[in-house]
Amino acid sequence: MKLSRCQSLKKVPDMSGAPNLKKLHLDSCKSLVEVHDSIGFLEKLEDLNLNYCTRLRILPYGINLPSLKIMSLRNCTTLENFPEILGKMENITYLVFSNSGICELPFSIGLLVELVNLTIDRCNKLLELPSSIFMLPKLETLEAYCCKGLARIKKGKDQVPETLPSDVRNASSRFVHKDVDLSFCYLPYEFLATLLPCLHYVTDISLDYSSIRILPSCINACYSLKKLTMKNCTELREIRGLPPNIKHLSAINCESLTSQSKEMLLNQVYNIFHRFSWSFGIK
Amino acid sequence: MGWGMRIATTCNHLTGQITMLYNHWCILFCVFCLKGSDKTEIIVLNLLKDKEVQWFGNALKNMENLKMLVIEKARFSSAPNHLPKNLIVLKWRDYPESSLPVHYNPKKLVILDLSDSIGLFTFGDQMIMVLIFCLMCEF
Repeated sequence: MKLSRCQSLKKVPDMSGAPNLKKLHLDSCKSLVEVHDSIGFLEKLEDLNLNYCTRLRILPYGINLPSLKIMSLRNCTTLENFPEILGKMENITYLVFSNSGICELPFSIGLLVELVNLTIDRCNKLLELPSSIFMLPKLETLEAYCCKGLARIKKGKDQVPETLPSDVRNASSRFVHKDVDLSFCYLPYEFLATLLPCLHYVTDISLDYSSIRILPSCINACYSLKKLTMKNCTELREIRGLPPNIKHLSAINCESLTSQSKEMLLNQVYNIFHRFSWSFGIK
Repeated sequence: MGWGMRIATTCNHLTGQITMLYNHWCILFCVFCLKGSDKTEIIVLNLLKDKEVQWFGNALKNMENLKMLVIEKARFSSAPNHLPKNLIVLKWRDYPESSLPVHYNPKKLVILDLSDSIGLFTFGDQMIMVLIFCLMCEF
């Protein structure tokens, strides 16, 4: 069912009598304020598009949509709360919040076990991320650039201690490209210190143009990290550690770096070069 | 060849025979100006929006076999009074009224697309009923 751009639509009513609905497109319904709770329990719903519903405030209190593949809330600027996830949703791969007004993500987001792409860029009201995001086994891309308010990681009460998941050592998962983009964020020290140990499976991290001051030593917990970019982090002073398997590091225009940090980087480069020449018998 | 001739010649081939109408002048002529053929199964209409199509809304009444009605770009003076009960696809951009015909029972409808319909004030009770009817049936 497609009711895109219906400018006078204010409310989606009870749809529990329509259990076969597969697709619901309500994008750019600029007057839409409320989506009825029943939408959260449509067993066959695969595609829910609410992009550019700029007055949307009320979503169902909870969702359990076992067939859902994609949910999109791009530019829902007045939407503050996302529903609790009430059951395992094993089909959703894309969840998009770009430029929405979302303030909080529920811890139950960890039930979206097949999620591949989570896009939360430019959600300036989003202050914290639930740590369950970093437990999502299939997540390949976390686009969180320009989340100016992001400052905390929310941990669940009954959370398992952070141990290295077995699949990190698993050869097949090592080749999957996993990407976290936190460019243009503020990135306080405590936030990074909690976040980085959760990213042991990530291969690429971008911190470009962020207000990062110190790269915490716990970056060495990022075993899988191959590429780290910190371009134009003009406030970056200290790099307290480097991941063990790093292949590419970019810190262009980081003008505040201390001489100690620079020296450490140069030493690292020298070591790598030394190892490289050794293995090729140059020296 | 003037428009009148062209409509007349093309429509001669069409009346009562063909199951799909695509040429918009023919559709207007056959369906909306005269009366619909009961053999037509598909209508796809894509007109210039600035010319309003004047009709009384009864033209679709007898099109029992119509399964797909796609109105992409057209401005109608009023909404239809009847819609065929066998419709599977109803795509009507900029639908001119706030609800579907009162007696329409969309039991076979699979795709409903009323995008860009500025007339949909809210879901009126009848609209909800219609939608729930149509979405209850199995695809």
